[in-house]
Amino acid sequence: MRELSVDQISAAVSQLCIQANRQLPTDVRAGLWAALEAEDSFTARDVLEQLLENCAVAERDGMALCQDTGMAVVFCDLGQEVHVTGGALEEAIQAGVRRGYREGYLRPSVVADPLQRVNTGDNTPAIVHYAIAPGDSLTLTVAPKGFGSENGSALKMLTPSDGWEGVQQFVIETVARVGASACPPLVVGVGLGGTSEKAVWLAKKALLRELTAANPDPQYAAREAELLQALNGLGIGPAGWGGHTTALAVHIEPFPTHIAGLPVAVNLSCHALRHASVTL
Amino acid sequence: MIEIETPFLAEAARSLRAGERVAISGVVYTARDAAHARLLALLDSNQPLPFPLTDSIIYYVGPCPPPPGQIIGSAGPTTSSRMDRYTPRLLQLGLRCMIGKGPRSAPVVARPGAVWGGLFRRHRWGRGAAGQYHPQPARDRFCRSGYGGCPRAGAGSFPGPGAGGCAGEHVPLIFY
Repeated sequence: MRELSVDQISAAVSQLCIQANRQLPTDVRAGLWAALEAEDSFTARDVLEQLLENCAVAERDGMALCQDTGMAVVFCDLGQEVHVTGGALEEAIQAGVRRGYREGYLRPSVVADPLQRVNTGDNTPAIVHYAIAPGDSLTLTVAPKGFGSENGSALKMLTPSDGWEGVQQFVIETVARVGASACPPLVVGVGLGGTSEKAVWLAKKALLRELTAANPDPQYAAREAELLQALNGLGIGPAGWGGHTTALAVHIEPFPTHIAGLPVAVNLSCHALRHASVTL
Repeated sequence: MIEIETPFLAEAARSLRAGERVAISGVVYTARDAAHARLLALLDSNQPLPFPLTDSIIYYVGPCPPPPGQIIGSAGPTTSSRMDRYTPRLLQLGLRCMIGKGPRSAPVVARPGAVWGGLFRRHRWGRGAAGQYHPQPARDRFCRSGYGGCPRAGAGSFPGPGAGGCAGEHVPLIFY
């Protein structure tokens, strides 16, 4: 049994909130550079150049990549041989988010009640997804999620006869409908199978995969490539002003499902696909 | 590059064509969903608005808090379509220009003389252009959700968003 204190956990979460909001992961930057190479119109290139310059400025000046510093989504993979000491794990994570958003001058964007809509002032509560893993380490990932793209999320409970065609159609329709508002070029997470909530969770989780890493199953790798090509054929382009790059990547995460169902969920990320991880 | 000064007069708007680059100097008001809801509530109860709508520009933005030594944190346009429900009425009352991102609904786009735009050249998504954009604190907090709006933001030279449309066209205007 290994001991980890709540203070260590809070400090790590706090640091991850700041890092994720200021530094775009290198794979995402590389994706934006590749998109710039692929574009030929002035406007599309102009937008991508601005986005890349924005990354450089944010990192140089220690400022958030985007004013929408998101609702903090935290993935907490807890080794079953870890003993958390000094308090509650959940509270440690929330305290870390509170501190990170305050010390990083990140915008508090959370309202306490969805209808009353009064800002909590410290960007808590964060959404925390726990997983119990073997071993004695704790892996934390902070993925701030802005709502320009989050509002484009969609779930559809397809049925088996809809098949891959139905899945494609739903993903393409979703991106065509909301893509221009979601700050393209997008990364498109697709959760396929499970139950309704499992599909939505998988779609979110799919966004964390390294940008250019295809699904390890060749069947799904091919489907991802096929969907990406179709989405880039929509012509929405960077910032929605036309171009070849509507999406940088499509990541599909499949999961076993019921004999009567074919749930499909889409979770979009804007070009600022922010996430940072640490293992304690 | 077309220079625009506020108030943004109808003649200046009419001379613009979609896809043109513009630079704005003057006063730009910031407001998001909650501020729009309050503006409409004030109108419904015949009370005065906190700023004059005629020939005005509204920028859909909720900046990050300013770090020490800075006048503003990161600031960039939010999704315009969330304001579509409120905008036609504001346009009727003289609102001239909106800065945000993403497509607008038909009643907004089709309004003659209305200008909408979205992506900044130097002052843009995720980046507060300190030194060029001079927000003045709102006299009082305008909405409880905190970042819904702080009505008055002065702009020395307000360097560019890029892309919107004007006079019924769907092709973008580019603001610099």
